Amino acid sequence: MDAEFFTAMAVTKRFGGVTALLDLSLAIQRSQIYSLIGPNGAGKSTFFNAVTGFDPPDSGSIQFQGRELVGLAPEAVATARIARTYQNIRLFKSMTALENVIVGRHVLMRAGVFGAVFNPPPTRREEETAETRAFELLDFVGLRGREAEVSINLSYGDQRRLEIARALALEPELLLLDEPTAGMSPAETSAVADLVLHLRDERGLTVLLVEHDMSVVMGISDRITVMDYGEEIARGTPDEVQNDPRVLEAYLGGAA
Amino acid sequence: MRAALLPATRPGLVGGGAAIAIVVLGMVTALNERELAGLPVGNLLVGLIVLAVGYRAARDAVGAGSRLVAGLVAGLTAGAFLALFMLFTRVPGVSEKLVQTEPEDTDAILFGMGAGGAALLAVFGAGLGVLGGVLASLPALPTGWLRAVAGSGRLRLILVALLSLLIVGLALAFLFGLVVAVVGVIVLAGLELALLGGALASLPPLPARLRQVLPKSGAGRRRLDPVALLTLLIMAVVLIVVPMAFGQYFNHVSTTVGIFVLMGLGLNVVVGYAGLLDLGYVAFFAIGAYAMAILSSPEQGIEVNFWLALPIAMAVSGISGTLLGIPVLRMRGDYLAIVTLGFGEIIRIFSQNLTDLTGGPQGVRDIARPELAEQEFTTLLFANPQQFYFYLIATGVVLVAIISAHLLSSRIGRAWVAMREDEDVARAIGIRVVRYKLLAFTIGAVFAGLGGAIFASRQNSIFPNDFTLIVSINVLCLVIIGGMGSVRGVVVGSVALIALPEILRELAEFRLVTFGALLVFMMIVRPQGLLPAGRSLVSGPASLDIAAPPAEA
Repeated sequence: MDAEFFTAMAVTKRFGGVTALLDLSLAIQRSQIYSLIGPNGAGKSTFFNAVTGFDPPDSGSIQFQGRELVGLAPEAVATARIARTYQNIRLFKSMTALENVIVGRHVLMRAGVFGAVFNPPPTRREEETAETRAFELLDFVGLRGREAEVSINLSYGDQRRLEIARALALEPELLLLDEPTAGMSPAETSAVADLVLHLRDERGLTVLLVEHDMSVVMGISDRITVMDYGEEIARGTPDEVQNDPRVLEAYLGGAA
Repeated sequence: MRAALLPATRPGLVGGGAAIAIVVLGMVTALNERELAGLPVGNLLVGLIVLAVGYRAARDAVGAGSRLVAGLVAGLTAGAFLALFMLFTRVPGVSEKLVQTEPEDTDAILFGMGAGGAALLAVFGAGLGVLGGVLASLPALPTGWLRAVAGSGRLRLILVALLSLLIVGLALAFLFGLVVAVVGVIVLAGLELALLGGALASLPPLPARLRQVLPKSGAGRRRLDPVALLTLLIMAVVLIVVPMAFGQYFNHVSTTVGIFVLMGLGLNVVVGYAGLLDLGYVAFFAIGAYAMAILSSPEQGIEVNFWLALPIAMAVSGISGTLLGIPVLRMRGDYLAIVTLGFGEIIRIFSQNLTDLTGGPQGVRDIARPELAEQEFTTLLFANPQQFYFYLIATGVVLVAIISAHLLSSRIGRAWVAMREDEDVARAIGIRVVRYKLLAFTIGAVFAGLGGAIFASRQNSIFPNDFTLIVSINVLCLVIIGGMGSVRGVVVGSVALIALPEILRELAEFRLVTFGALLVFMMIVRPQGLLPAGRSLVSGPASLDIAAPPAEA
């Protein structure tokens, strides 16, 4: 069972004449950090959208804990405990940091109209738990003291970290991070890398990471798939990938 | 300084244009029939515009000297523009084209002095502009104390208590004379003092803002804090006394406002919380009203009691909200607006043509009034039936406002706001947007249905013309002007858009023009509305801030 924690098999996605993903296969073990790298337009974000149900693949299969994800709506993928962040930050802008994280917990809460209007003890307990957990998560990503800040007023790096906290609020089994360190300073970048490592080591979380910062990718990944033009060109541990001639060619061009 | 001259003419021209518009439309003449402190209101309005122009121009200038000059230039431009146009209207043939104004009216603007008057008007404008410039140069008013009052529970409480004494005292004096008023005020003051003493002592020392940020312990969550409780209590006392003191006219206006508040609160859920633009919202109001009418009027031979018809009407309206929601769920933005617009008209046309059920243009008559214990409640307790509707509607408004506030600060409200801001991200978080859109539509429809049912009963008879597109537009305007997503905003918006035109009857024919101008003005100056939504997606004392003030209705 654990051997098949997450597998993608021959996933193909075409947009008109453009093949964004071609026969992409990969397998992630539980508590691994698995990185997808490749030049811009290699199909990494397309793969994220295929997994989360926004752009279902044309063919192929994506299995998560024995369950087929292809064909599931985004809401159902979230219920299966897969959370994601976005390359271009997509927070709920009018909400505070705290509210962003609490709303991320939506699927773990139950309250309906009755609960909302009458606020019976179960709802009250649920809200309390949500709030407590949200404070913990904000503390964990380093946003202590900024809870009441409206998210759009946060600094860029804080917004990125808040997005991670919101994704973690779902208590995911699999976390998809889409360029979490983009635009960050070296210090902030290494803090995020530490955070991801911590999630794996302390909480046993499985992470699928898309990242351009090679020091981060090589430093924390267990396995890496290198993509170019929608196809896998290399796969393996950081060491194996770094020495692969095809990878060097894709990154440095024919001149290398 | 010369650089400041040219930009200052721009607000001058805009203001002058606005002044010309209101003169040509006949608004100034109509308003001049009223006086405020001895001055005709119409002319006062023109003066105010020029003053504002001077203020606006001066605010952009740097340094005291150039502020005054900017104000002068702007005011002079506005005055001269208006004066020149008034002279232009005296050109033979022009005056006849201006159907809304008589030559005497434009003459009056020029002080009846022709060209000399025009020069005088320009000088007047310049003077007012300078005054605007002076105002702009004044140091900013210390508004800190205002914020302190608003932020401090104690001060607010004392203020509310004093205000309630004043209102109750006045009302009692009106009703029963001075002696009763004095006794009543003393009794109420004693009562409030007893309550206040306890409440003040038990107020937590932390400022309200800090309290919202700190994680709340289980004990204090969403329980009525003493300030809110007392505020509610005092509001209730005021609400009970007020309609007794004022006449039928007050009650008619205030119940109309209340019905619009009910609708506004419903549309606020749909548009403000969930971000679904519904332009045919009157449909649900109509469905609620016709359900009440058909069920309780003898015309269809059903004739059930008001209290039975009320929940049925709300349910019928809610179900129709769900039914409309299903086909339009997958539409976003503009498309949704157009489809709902059509739905609103369909319902009105149905009510016109389904003659067997709705009586067609003849409408439904003899709709039931609320009865209690086999006797008309209205005649049992109150001389004036409108007075009972006031209590009924006030109760409805308070309940609906509290329910809205609770919904917003719950899992449901957060899901709505998330969906409104980014539907894709909301789905990725696991929010089933289809379900939440349906829920918003349904709840909005139930609130409108309640408003419609009470409206039908109050009117006693209803007609298709009560449910035109303009009702939808009015409700949407009051939600936007009040502040989308804000419960308080809906109340303020209703008072501004429903009560004011009702009181300023002379302006009735200028209503739409004023609406349009007001909307444009608001979108430029304060797009978030008069009282924008506060931050209260998390339950706690903050949610009560929203729940309490609607009692003002």
